[in-house]
Amino acid sequence: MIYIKFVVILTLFLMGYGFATNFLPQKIKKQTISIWFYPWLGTVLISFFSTILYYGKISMEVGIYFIALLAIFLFLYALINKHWKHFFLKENLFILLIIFIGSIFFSISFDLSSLDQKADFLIKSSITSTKVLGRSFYEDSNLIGSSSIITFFSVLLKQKVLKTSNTIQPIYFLLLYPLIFFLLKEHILSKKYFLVGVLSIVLLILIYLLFNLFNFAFFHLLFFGVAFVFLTLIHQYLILTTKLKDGIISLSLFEVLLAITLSSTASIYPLGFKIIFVLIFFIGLLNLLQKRQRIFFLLSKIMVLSVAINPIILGVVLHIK
Amino acid sequence: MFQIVVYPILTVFILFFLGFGLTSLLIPSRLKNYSLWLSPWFAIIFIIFSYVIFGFLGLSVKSYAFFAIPFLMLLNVFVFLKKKQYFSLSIRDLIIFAFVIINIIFNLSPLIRRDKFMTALSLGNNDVITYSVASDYLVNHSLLENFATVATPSGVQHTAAADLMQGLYRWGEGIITAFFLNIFNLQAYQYIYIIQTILFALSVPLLYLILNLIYRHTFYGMILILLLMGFNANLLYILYHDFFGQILFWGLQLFILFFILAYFESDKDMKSKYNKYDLIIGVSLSALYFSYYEGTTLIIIPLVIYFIIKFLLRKNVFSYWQTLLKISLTAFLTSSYSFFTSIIQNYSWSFGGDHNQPIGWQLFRQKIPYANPYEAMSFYSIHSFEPLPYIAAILLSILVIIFILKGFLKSKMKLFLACFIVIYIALLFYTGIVDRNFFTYNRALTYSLFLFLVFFVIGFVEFLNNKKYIKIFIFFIMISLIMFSALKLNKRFIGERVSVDKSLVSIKEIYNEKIKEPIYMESYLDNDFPYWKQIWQFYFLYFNNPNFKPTLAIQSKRDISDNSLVLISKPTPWFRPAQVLLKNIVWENEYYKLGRLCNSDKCLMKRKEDLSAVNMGTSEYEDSLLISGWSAKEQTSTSRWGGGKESILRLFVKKESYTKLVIEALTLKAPQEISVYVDDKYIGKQNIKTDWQEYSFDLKNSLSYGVHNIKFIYSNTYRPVDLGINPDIRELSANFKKIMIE
Repeated sequence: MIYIKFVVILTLFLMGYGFATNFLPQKIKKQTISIWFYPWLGTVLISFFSTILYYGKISMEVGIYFIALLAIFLFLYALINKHWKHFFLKENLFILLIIFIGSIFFSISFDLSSLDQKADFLIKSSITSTKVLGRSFYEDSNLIGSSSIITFFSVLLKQKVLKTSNTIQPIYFLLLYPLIFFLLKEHILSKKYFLVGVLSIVLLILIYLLFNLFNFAFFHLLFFGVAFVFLTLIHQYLILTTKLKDGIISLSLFEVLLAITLSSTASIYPLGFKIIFVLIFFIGLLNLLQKRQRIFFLLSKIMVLSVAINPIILGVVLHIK
Repeated sequence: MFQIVVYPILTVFILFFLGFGLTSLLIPSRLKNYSLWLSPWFAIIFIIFSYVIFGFLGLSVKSYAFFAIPFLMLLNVFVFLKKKQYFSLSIRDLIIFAFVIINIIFNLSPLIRRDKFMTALSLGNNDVITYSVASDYLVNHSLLENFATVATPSGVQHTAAADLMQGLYRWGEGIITAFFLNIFNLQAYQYIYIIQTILFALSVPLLYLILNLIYRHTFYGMILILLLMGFNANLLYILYHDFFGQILFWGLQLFILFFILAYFESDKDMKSKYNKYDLIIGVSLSALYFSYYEGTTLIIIPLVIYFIIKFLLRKNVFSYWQTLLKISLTAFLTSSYSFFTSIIQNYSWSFGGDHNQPIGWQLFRQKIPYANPYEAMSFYSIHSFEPLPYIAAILLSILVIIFILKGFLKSKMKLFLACFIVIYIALLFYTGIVDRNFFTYNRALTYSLFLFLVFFVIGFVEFLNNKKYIKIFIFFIMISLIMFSALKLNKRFIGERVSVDKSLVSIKEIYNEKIKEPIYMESYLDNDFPYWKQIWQFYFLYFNNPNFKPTLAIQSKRDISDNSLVLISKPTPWFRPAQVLLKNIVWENEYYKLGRLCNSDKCLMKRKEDLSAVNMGTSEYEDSLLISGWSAKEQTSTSRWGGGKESILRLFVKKESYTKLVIEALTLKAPQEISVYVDDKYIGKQNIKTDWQEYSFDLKNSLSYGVHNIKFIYSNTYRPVDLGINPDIRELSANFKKIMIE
């Protein structure tokens, strides 16, 4: 069990590490919090690529090799470029220890909302075979990104779907902790480590209670983490790129990462995606009205890109009632 | 007739018009001179690429066009007013333009000369129906709808469109056709062949642009390259067979190749920042994945080889690596579904299929159905003539190869082009010599021919640079040979083509009748009904009126109940339709009648016709009596073959007492013994001879009033092809002129 928990955490970090270090700009990579984006960006990578693999007629049983190949490529490329130094900071190692130990001792589980059944189905089938098997395309596509996380680890660890979901849920929940910790530390209570530590644990417990109170499901948890990362990054993106004078045809890897992250939220939790999409649109529109066309253009670019790279899931989101 | 010319001209105009603004904005400044002939392809790629996105968001082509056309027109206005840009036509462009129009008219000649109305044609292949159905479907339905909706038994159009869209992920052809169907308010059968001829003609100038890029402009070179591609019999053969995917692939392949050549021509353009080239090449590759991913490997593998060589040579490694990443990331992220599907499909086609299974294609010619270099250039057509004598073929091929080699040596970017040529030669070698499959060799040849044509032209121009009169002389000989091959094939096309003729189109008249019940097509009554007619009857009868489609599973024609509506062709001198008895005619026109079937034993017993005998080819009720094990009708013959080891029919006894069964029959070859069963009781057996003779079987007891099933069981079957009679591969037992009880 300990071994499995370790493998899950390691996999999420390694996948996110390759993705983040190659695609994020240097200024963001230097921030300590960026390390805690890794597991969430690893989640993004899994959900995004699983989804397009399913629509490309490939089940997870085969697709996992494609995802692994991509992750290894990104990881090695990142290693070659030596993006690994700031991983071994004291506070990072301490938080990592908390997550690892916490995931072993605390059994946290949320409503799966039949994600487990879908995850089981997607091990050997792709989404394009749903109609053949008399299933509903829209129903199977709904929350496909969330179920693909369970499917991915189920195939990777060679475990039953239900056992896998029980394994990964506490890990994901505890991975929210560093996000809260650094949010408090960097924006509200800088350098008051003790207070930040205690407050972030209290907040995490509050979140847990809220999750239970409102009967939130596992996909809400995934969305919560990914959306947090996305909104933080898009904020940084606007700060970094507003003053640049790129032409219309310009594209950075950071923008690709943002588009992939936004697109993956559509497969993780469609309603959440709609909220974020509308939110960004209105932010862009407000800026346009205030004659800050550049911000509108930058946000539009991310939105258009996110649609172009996975239009089916967006179509599904629009059609789910 | 007038429409056959107007619609192609309008299509060409719209493509140039819609592509103008987009091209002006996107094309890198040093390629501005090439804008004109690239603009229709910019429009095509934009339409395919953007519709895939909108289609998956749930928009039909009709709704998409509502946004796309104004958007492209807005770009035109912007470019025209703000940037003050417009196309300028040179003499050279006018010549090319004239060539494009002539090429379109040449390929539409069967329509203009014979059919005289807009319709689908084919030299024999049936693929055109698949593209037609998908195109019609996309006008009013979205890609997402096709993926998401569960097909109902009556959703025949949905199911048929899904074959192409969900089975093969081949969307581009349907999208571009549907786009124009929506503008012109046409049905796909009217337009599907026309759009292919237009796409083919518009791809020819792209090869001329490539010639310009890797060599230079010469008048002779321009004329020769246009003719070599535009009237190449090998390529026309593909066009006449409606291989739409491959035709679109040629255009996209040349477009992509042009931009890759332009991009890599100078290292200056290869900056680490994302630029116009990355966008154009990446998106075009995506459009290719959406249209014909089978061909993408022919671009990607040479490119990867080129990058590896550059890497090994350590020349500008970083720039090339960055460029590769930018292009592949753009293409991969925007066509990821098709990319992954292509991996699975290409893998299963390459390693999963049985290479030795029959491929269903007649040999192009009995001896050497593989085009040699001379024939590949289309100076001599494998589709019209027997092979040249060996010596002549070898000498002429060597001459062509020398020209090609010379052309290669004189072209720019040799290393880059060599990567493509090596892969192409390897592919031709594998399909022609290792696999020895004439059809895949021909496909490989038509995939890869273009660069060889360009090198040949460069070689020709270089060799005869200072020999003006010889050059003119050889030039005219070559033109004559190319045109002769093209005309021969075109003539064959006019003669042998199958078309969606007026009779098939006339089925649409049934829509005006107030009929709301299933209609059975002729193929339900006759298993060997011609396939072309069958698929198009299906298209006209069921796609627009799903209510007409019978929902019951029909195993044999006996399952069709009395009073069912059946659509039957009226006989013509060259076609004998199913001969069944109808109670009454509900509707009819010049070509068809729609009647209520009399099919049950009870109904047939009440008929006044004498159903105790059947005279093949003359009895009006022949197919009402023959149940199973009968081969297709011989259109001009008064006999019918038993197919397989057993044949069954039914005969009716109404008044007299019958005591014997008489047949008039022959066999292809002795021995042939027929055993006869009446109502499953053995009656007797006799040896059949190879000439017409009557044979009589005693029925032992006289037959009672009612219906009686007669079964013939044969000792042997023979195939005419095995006996050297003709190429017929049917398993035939005995040929009958009459079967009667008396």
